[in-house]
Amino acid sequence: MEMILEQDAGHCLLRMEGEMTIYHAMEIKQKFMEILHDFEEVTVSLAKVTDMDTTGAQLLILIKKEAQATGRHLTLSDHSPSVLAVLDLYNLAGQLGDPMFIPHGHGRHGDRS
Amino acid sequence: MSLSDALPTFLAEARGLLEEMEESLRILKQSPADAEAINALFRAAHTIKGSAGLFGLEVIVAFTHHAESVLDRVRDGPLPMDSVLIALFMDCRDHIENLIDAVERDEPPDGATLDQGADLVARLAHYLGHGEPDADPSPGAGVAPLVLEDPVVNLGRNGGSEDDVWHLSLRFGPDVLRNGMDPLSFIHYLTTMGEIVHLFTLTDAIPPAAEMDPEQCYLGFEIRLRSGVDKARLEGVFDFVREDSQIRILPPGSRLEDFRKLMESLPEGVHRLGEILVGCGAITRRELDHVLDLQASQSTNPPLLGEALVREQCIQPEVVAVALDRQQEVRKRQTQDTRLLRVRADKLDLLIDQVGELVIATAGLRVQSKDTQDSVLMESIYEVARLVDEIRDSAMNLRMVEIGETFNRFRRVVRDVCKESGKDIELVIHGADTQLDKTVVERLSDPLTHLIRNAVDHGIESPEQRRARGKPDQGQVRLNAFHEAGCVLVEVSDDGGGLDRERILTKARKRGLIPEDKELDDDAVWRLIFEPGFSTAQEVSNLSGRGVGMDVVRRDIDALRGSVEIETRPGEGTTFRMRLPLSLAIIDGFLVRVAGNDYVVPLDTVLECLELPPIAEARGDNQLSLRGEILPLLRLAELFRLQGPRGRRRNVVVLHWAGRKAGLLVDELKGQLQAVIKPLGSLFSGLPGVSGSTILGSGEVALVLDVSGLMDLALRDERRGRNGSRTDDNGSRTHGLVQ
Amino acid sequence: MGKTVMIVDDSASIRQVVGMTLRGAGYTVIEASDGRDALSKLSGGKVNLVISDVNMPGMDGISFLKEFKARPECRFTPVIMLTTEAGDAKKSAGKEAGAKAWIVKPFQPNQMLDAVAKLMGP
Repeated sequence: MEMILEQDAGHCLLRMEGEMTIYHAMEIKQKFMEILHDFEEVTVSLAKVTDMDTTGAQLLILIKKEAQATGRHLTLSDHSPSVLAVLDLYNLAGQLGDPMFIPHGHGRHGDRS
Repeated sequence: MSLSDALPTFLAEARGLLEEMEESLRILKQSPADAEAINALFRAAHTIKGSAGLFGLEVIVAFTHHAESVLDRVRDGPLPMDSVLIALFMDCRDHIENLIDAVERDEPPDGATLDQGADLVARLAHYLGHGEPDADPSPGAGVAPLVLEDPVVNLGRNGGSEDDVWHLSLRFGPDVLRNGMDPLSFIHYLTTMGEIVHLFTLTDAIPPAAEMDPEQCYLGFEIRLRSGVDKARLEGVFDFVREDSQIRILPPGSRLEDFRKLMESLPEGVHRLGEILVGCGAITRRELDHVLDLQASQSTNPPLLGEALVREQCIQPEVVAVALDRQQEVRKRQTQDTRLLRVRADKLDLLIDQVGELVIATAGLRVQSKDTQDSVLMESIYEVARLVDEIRDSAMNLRMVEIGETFNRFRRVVRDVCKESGKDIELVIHGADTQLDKTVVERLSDPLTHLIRNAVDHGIESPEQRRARGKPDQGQVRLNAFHEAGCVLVEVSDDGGGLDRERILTKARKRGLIPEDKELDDDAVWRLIFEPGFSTAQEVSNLSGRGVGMDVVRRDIDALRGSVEIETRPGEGTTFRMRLPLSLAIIDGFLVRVAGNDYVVPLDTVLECLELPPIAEARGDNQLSLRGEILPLLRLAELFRLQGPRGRRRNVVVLHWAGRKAGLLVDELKGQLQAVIKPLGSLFSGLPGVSGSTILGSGEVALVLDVSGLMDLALRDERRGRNGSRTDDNGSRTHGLVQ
Repeated sequence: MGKTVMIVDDSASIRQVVGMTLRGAGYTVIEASDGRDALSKLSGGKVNLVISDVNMPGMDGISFLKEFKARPECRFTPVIMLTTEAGDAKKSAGKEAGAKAWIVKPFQPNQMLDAVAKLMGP
């Protein structure tokens, strides 16, 4: 897992590269918390995430919640296919709120009224 | 490639194993007790059975299973290997060979072979403790316990009809991710069994960032699955996580009651009622919004939400009824968690106090009613006493909390200490759901912190040392809690270097805790680290020795009427085992009388009672022989220097605590009672052997004996006895009240 | 993405059948004949799942499991233990050592495939 940080005044871009799995969960969490602490505006690029498990999904939710609580502006961007597969299965697109793909799961039950 | 391609491998392997069996049996003929040969024989049979099962060769599996079962008993000891058994196993081996031959010829075993098999099974069954052949040796033998269909084949076939929608409510346990069990995989697997119509991921349980453990699982799922499979199959998906997780599955067309139970068991809180209904797929968001609008627009005497929903014919009335129940609850309680009621601890304490008084008053009533000889009254009182017992148990139960929360706090402690010390240590938690009294849990926090810091600081070696000892770099500290015989056991263990006997002895001598020349057994040496003065403030930063504030640990545990044991192996690690009472306030006790005073012994420490032979009494024995076992005899009257009139007879109460036994010499046995323990004032709190007081039904006060403390006195007494320096009974024995 | 499963069993036929079944389902399979062999075959590389027999000559399943779980790159990797119904004591030892999934021998190839699919995800 590599996390590459690019920054300019108040804004940063964190590129996640490799596995967002339990083996790296501790370091990822720490990094997430650091950038949320240091920057007003944060973009996390998920383009090069090769593999993601539940800990990865949890950390994305955590950083979203935390950004909201602390008034930071956070964008998750460029979701890789591995990330999309997990968020899709967990139906988390709506909860995370970033533009990523056409959310599914709406209007499936038809209109009964 | 198919299974039959691998059959030659099986046949060759089986023949090899049959040869091994023959060789092992040859060795056993020479020396029947050869453990290695027995093991090899067992393993050969075991492997043949396992492989044969894989190829569906059920006749071989069934037969080998019988042979294996008998071998298992031989291996574990109860059945000695002898020439008769060796001959039998030789026949079994030959029979397996015949079965294998048949497989190789690709034909079923012939009648003679089958008869031979039945005969051998009967002979084997003789050794399994039942006279006839084991008719149903499953789950191991015969047909494999679960024949599952190929999931790939099931794709598409399990679509199910429109109505076959299951509801799954999943709350995964905190450790599933660490165990390699990712919910992602299980949910993905569900997609091979049907179609996920809707899935809602509950993220409510994720705590604020500071407390969030990224390796822990916090997610829950509400899933609608359309599938034609049966319930067992669906439940089977979660076999590997069932123990640690809450898995609830509602079949299609579930009744009101099922939904109600499900909803009531959900931890998320009823503010999310609407979401859950929508998430369930019972109604859609639009329908819910519509109905909410309708309700809001009818300002005067508005119909209840549920009525509105039903009138709009959106959902079945019963689902609404459940939902409304939940909403009412939330209004009443005004709390996030619908299953929990927040009560101030002091209110609870007051209740326990009052129940305590009630127990005492009932005991008084019982005593007085005996004098009236009024059987009807006594019967009523007996009934009241029974109810009071139940109330007591319920009240005590209110104070029981799970120890898990306290345990989890130590993850941080371990992480912090790891950072300071540069060690890599994993904290493993077991028994987090073990319940014990709230006060006990609270007061356990400090000693646990001490023990864990100690294990991390001093117990676990540096990575370099560990490597040198051939251990993994990462050390392990374990926290474990479980119930045993009316106590709760809490263990802190490490896989570090163990306690250093010599270092402890040297230090204790230096500190003057023991005389220079005194030899101690291991147990006594370990106990030294609990002595006040064994460690000093200077040593807090000294990483070489053990014993930082350990006397404090001991004191804290004593105050809880508990005890600490140490188990340590050089190079392998140390376990501190704390034995704690389930509850502090009310106990079942056993009342005894000595020299005109009453004492209560906690009932769960009493093994038996017996009368002391007059001759032993006359001799002033300090030991007691109980069916050949020598126990120290504690003379309570002398111990406490009681002056009152002694009874004519002497009785002994045999006590046990933490694996030790002792006899307590008293005058009179007065039977069982419930004792509400009142703490002793600070003046008496240092008394060894006494942990509190209680008020008896008669209104008199009795002291509650601290068996752990008494045992220590007994042990000291025993050593003194062994050293031959026993003093005159009426003389100057000063242990006890004076220290 | 191809996932790797390691099967540790002293029976060559069990290794062959399990290997065959799992390869057929698209997994990469590493075979090892006992704990020692498994550890040496692991060196460096990561696997996604381990299936291990308990009773093996050489290094048995429980000792293997302990060493496996002690490796930082393996500590969260799921392990399925193969056991006989009689092995309750073994089972609790295995649980202690970190095994959470068990399959009772004898088993059918499809049972194994099912168990692996449950744990391996997409």
